[in-house]
Amino acid sequence: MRRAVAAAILAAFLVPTPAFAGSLGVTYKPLNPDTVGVEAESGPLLAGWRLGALAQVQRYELATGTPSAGHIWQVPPAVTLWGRHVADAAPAHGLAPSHELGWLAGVNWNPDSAEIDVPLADPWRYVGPVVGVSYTLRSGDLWLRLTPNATFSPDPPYREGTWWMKSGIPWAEAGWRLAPGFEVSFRASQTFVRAAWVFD
Amino acid sequence: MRVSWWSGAIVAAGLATWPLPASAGPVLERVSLAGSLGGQNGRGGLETELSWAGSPFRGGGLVWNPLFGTGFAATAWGGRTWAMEKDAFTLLGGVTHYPQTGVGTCAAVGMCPPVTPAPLGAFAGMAYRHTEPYLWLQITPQFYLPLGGRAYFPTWGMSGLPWVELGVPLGEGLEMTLRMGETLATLTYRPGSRRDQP
Repeated sequence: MRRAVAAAILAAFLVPTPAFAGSLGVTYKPLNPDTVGVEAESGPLLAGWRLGALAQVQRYELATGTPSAGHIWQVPPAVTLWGRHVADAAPAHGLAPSHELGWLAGVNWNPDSAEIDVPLADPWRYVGPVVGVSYTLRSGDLWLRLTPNATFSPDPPYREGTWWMKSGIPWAEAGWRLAPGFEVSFRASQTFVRAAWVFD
Repeated sequence: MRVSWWSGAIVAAGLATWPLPASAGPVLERVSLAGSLGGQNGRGGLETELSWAGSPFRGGGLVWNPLFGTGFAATAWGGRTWAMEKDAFTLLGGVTHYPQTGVGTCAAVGMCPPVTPAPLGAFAGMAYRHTEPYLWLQITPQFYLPLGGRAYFPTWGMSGLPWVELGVPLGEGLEMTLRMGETLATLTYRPGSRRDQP
C-alpha cells in the first residue's frame, strides 16, 4: 500500500498535467551567504503568458569574535513576483532549435542584506518594479534562457548597487531536462542551481 | 643519478598513453578566447585543447589574468574520455599556477599586493558533457590541493576550468560558451567541426 501511494505521488510529479504548463522548483546557492529558495511559474497550457514567484532566504556566516558570531538567516525572505509573456520566434521542426522571445514585468521586495539584523522600519523602501526581456533557445533536452532584467526603486540609496541583479531572476540560465517531468538548471544569479518539476 | 619529479611525470605520461595507433598524432580540438567584464572581476584569457587521434586522451592549457596587477595564471590539464552517443565522461587532472592578492590587511580589495611566491597547486575532477544538435552542457566538478609557493588552501575550483559551461554552435566551427568559473564567456573555434555545422 505504501509503495502504491509513493508511486502515485511520484507519478503525479513526473506525468505532465494537461491544463496548465509551468514548473515548481527549489533553488540553492552555496558559499557565504548560502541562499535557498522556492520558485514557481505557471499559466494556461496554450496561452503565451506565465505568472511566476520566487522567494529566497540567505544565511550569513558572521565573523567569529563579533557579538553576533555564527549564522544568521535573512528574515523575512526576498520575494519577486512577475508575469512573463513569450511567443515562438521560430517554431521548431525536426532537429532544429526552437526560439522563444518575450518580456516580463513584476515587482521585487528584497530587504537590504546589510540591515537584516535590525527591524525593518520602512518595508516599502525595499519594493521596486522589475522589467526585463526573455529569450529561450531549446535543442533536445537542453535549453538556454537569457533574461536581462532590472529592478528600480524610488528610494535613491536602495536604488544603488546591484539593481541589475536585485530581483533574483537569473540573467543567464542553462537547463537540462533529465526526465519528462524533471529538470535541473544552472544560473548566473543568487540562485545558482535549481531542481524543478515541470509540466508542459 | 638524480631524477627530478617532472622527468618522472613525463615518463609516466608516456607510459599512460602507450601504445598509440600508428596513425596517431595531435589534433587541435579548439582555441578559445575567454573573458569576463566588470570592474575588479574583469578577466581575459586564452585556452587550447588537444586530443590524440585514435586515442581517448586529451589535454589542454589556459592562461588568464585573475586580477589586475597580479600577473597571469596558467593551467595545464590532461584526461581520458569515455564517449557515448550524446554523453561523454572525462576523468581529468592538472596543475595550476594562480597568483593571489593578499587579503585582510589592505585598504580595499584590488589594492592588495600579490602574495609571493605565487601558489602552485594540483587539481583533479571529472567532466560530464551532454550534447544536443544546437547546445551542449558540461559539468566539471573539481578539487584543488596546494603544492607550493605561498600556498592557498584546499578548495573547490581555482583551476580555471569552469564548473558549468553551456555551448552554442554558431556555424563555421565557431562556438560561443557561457560558463560559471574564472571567466564567464568564450568565443571558440573548433577546426574539426567546421564541416559538421548545419
